[in-house]
Amino acid sequence: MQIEELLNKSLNGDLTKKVFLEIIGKQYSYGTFFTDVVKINNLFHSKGLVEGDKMFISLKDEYDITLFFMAGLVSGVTVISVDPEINAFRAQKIVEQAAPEMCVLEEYLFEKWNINKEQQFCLSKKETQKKGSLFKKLLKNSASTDPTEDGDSYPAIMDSLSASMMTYKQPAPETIAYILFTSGTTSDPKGVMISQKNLWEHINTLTKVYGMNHQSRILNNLSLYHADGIIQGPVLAACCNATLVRPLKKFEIGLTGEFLTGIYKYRISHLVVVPAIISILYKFSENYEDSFESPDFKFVISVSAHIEEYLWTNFEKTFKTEIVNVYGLTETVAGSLFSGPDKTIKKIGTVGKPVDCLIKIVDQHNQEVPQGEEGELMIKGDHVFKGYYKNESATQLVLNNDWLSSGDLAIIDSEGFVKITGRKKNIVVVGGFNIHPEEISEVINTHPEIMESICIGVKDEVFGEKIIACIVAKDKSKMNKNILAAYLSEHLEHNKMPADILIYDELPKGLSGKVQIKEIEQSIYNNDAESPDAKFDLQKEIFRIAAISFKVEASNLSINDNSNSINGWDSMAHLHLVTKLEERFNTRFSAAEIMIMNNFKSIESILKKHTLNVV
Amino acid sequence: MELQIYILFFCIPVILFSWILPERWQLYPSVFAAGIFLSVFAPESLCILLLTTLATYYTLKYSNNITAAVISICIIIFSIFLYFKLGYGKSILMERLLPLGISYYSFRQIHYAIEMYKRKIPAHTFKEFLMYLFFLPSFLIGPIHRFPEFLKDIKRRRWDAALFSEGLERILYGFAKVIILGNYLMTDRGEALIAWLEFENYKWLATYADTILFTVNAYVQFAGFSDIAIGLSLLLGFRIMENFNAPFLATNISDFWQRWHISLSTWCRDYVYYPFYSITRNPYIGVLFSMVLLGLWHSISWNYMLWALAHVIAINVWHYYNHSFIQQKIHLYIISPKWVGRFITFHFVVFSFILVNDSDMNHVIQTYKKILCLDV
Repeated sequence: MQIEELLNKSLNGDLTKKVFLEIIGKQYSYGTFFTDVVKINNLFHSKGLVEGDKMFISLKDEYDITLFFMAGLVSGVTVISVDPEINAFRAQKIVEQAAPEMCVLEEYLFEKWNINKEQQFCLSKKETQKKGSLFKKLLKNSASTDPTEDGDSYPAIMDSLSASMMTYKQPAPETIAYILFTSGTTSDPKGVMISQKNLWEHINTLTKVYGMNHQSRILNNLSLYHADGIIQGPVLAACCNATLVRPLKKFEIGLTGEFLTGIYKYRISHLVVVPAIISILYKFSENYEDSFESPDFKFVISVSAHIEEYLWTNFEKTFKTEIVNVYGLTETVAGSLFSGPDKTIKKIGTVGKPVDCLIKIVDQHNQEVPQGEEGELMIKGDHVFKGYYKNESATQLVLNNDWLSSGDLAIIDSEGFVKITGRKKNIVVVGGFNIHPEEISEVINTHPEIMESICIGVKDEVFGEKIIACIVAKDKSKMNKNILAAYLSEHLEHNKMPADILIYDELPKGLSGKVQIKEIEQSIYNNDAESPDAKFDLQKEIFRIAAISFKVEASNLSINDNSNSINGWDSMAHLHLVTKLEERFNTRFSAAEIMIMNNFKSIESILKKHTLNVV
Repeated sequence: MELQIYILFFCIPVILFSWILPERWQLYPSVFAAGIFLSVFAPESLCILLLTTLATYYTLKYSNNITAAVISICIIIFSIFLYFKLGYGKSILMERLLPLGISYYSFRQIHYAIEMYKRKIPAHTFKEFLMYLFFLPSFLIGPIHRFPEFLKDIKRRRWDAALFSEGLERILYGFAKVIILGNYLMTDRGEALIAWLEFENYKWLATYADTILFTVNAYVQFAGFSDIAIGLSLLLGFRIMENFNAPFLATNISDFWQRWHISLSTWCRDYVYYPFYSITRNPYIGVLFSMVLLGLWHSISWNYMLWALAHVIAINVWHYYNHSFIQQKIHLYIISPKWVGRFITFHFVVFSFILVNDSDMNHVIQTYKKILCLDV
C-alpha cells in the first residue's frame, strides 16, 4: 500500500473532491479528510511523537475516530483505540499497560477513568457550541483567537495546525500499526499487535477477494472499535479509493427498514455485517425483499462470527443476493479464509478456503491430522499478528513457528473446504463480539453478596450465542436478578451483559470441585422452551399443509414466501390453508389474524401463539 | 384522455423540480402540482381529499380506540364514495359524474386505515401520507398502490438513470397501447372490420369479433393508461404496483383475477374477501361480496351487478372443479390442459363483458342470442 500516493491524490490529485466518508447523511471528501490527517501528523511532529510511539484514543464521533486512526497509520504512531463505553477499571488497566505518549479522549473520560494528564500529551474532545450557520461564519475567527483556552482540545486545535505536508516517509513494515484490546479479562487485558506489514498485506488480500475499486461503496455500520468495523470500513475504503457509508448512528431493530432502503439509496456495492444483523434483516424482511435489487450491489460480507447454514441459504434466497463469509480473528487483521465470492472458494456452510495464507489442522500434539478429521485450525501468513502486547506467555501459547492457533476446531472436506466444528478456546461470540465468560464472572464476583458464579455461552437464534450467568448468593443475601443486573450495567459494557441470570443454591460440581458446565448447559436447555432439540418443527408442518392447499412441492416452500410469491396462493387456496390449519391444530383464528396471514412468517407466528399449549 | 394529457403536462415541471431541488424539498412538487391540478379541474375533489386526508391521519394518530377509529373512517369514506357514485352529488359536481380520482383515493384511504389497524405500516409523517394521496401520476387512473411500498420508495428514492429510462419506455409503451392498438387498431380498424363483416353478411362473426374487440380494447386502453401512470411514477423515482399481467394468458378465472386490474382485485381480496370469510367462514359469501364491490366500483348498475354475479359463479365453479376428482380425470384425456384453460377463460371473460358493453338489457340479450346462434 502506497500511503504517499493516497495522500498526494487526496490532497492535490483526482481524489480531492471524491466523497470518502458519508456518515449519517454528512459527506466528507478525500481532500477534507486527508487535510485533517496531515494536520494531525503535524501535531504529532510538534509534540515530539515519532514512529512507534503510542496514541491512546477513545472518542464517540465516527469521523474523529477514523481521523485519528488513519493519522496514526499514516505517520507510524501506534494507535490504541478503546470504546468509551468500557468500564473504568479495564480502561485504566489498558492505559497502565500501554503507557501511551499521547491520549485523545472525550473530555469527561479523563475524570471518569482517572487518567493523569501530566504523564503524556493529552487532547480532550470538547463539544463545540452549536451556532446558527451565519453566526458560525461570523464568529469563526474570534473563536479560534484564544489559543490558551482551547490549545489542548480538539477540534479547536485543528485551526492552529498547518495543513501543509512535510516530506513524507512511509512507516517501516515492522512498526506496530495498532493494538486492539479485544481479548483477555478485565484485570489482564490482551492487546493484539498488528504491524504495518500485517495490515497492508491483508488489505491487499481483501481488495483482491472482494474485487473492490474506486467505484465501490461500502456500507459498514459496525463499531469502529472492532477490527471488522475500522479495517473493513474506512481503512479498506481509503486503500481502494472507495467510499464508506455509515447511514445510521447504530444499527437497531427498529431501523431495519432504513438500513435496507439504504442499500439502493446510497448505491451500496458491498455490505459488511455480522450474522446477528443478517438474522435480523432476514426476520424483518417482509416488504423489503427487493432491497438488494440494485445495479450497484455486489454481495453481503458476513464477518466476525459463524453464520448458520439455514440463515445463509434462506437469506440468499429471500433477498436474491449473495453472502460471502469471512473467517478471521483480530490476530489476523480481519480475515484468512473466504467462502465466496469466487465460485471456486464458495461452499455454503463452510468458511471456504484460505487466501494468501497457509492453513493446517492439527491434533493436540500439534501433528497434522488426515483430511476429514477434526483438529485445531492453524493459520500462517503475512497478516498474522506479532504477538500480544507485553504478554510473551500469552503469545507463546498461540504462536508457534509463525503458525497461529485459531482456537477453533475444524475439518477439511474432500474438496478442500474448511468447516468449523467447534471451539477450543473459552470464548462466547455474541453478535460478532468475542466475550470471555471469565471476564463477566470476574465482575460478578466483585459484588459483596455473591459467593460464586460461572458464565456460560448457549445458542441463540439471533445473536448466535448468548451469555447466561449462573450465580450462588451468600447466605441471608437478598440477591435477585434485578439487583445484580443493575450492578453489572454499571460495571460492564453493554454488549457483555448476560442475557439471563440464574440463581442456584449451589453450582453442580465434580469430585475435584470443578463446576460441571455440561450439567448446567443441559439444565438450561431442559428449561428452555425454545431449545432446538425440544422445538416442534412447526414450519415443516405448515409447509406440508400449504403444499396440499397450493398444489406445490413442500420442498419448494420457504418461510419468506407469501401470497405474491406462490402462484397457487389465491383467495380460495388461502381459505383451504386456513381451514386445514385450524383442523390440524384444533384451533380457530380470529378475523384479524386471518387478514394478516398472507405470508408464512405471520402464519408461523400466529400458530406459535395458538399452539403453545397444544404441541 | 384529455385529463391524462393535462396530468402529463403537469408532471413535466414536477419531474424537473423533484430532481433539482434540495433533497428535503423534492417530495413537495408532486403535492403542489396535484393541489393546483385539482383546484383548476376539480375543486370539490380537492376539498374532499384534503378533509379526508387530515381526518384519516390525525384520527388514527390520536385515537385511543383504534378499532372504532378505523371502522368510522372506513364507513365515512365509503359513504362519501357511495354518495357520489349513486348520483346524489350532481348538484355539487355540475356536469361531472364523480369527483376526480375519488374511486382511487377513497380506496387508498380505506387501505391505509385497515393496515394501520393491522399495525403493518411503519412509522411515517403526515407529509409522507399527504404525498401518497396527492401522488399525481396515479391520481386519475390508478393503480390503487399501497402505502408501505410507497413509503419505502420515499426513503430509498434517488436519481437512477436506468429507472428514469425505464419510465420513459413505459410511457412510450402506454401511448402505443392507447393510440396505436386501442384507438387506431381496435377502434378505427376494428369497427371497419366489423362493418365489412356485417356488409358481407357474416353476422355471427361480426358479433363475435365485436365482443372480442370490446374486451381487448378495454384492456389495451386501461393497461396503456396504467403504463403511463407507472412510467410517470418511475420518472419521479417511485415504483408503483403493476395493474395487469398478461390477463388473457390466464389458465382459469381465479388466475385471471390475479392478472386483471391487480390493484383493485387484491384490494377486494384483502379488505373484503378476508374479513367476510373470517367472520362468516363461508368462502362463497366472501367471493360474492368481493366481486359485487368490484363490479359496483366500476358503476352502480344492474349490468355490473350481473357481470359480478357471473364471475362469482365462475370462480366458485372453478374451485369446486379444481378440488374434485373430475379435474384429474379430465386432465388425463386433454393434451394441453393449460391452453384449453386459456381458451375457456378468455371466452368466458369476453362473453361476460357483453353484460357491461351496453346499458340496454335488450341489446345485451340480443348479443347473447347472436353469439349462441339463437337469433333466428
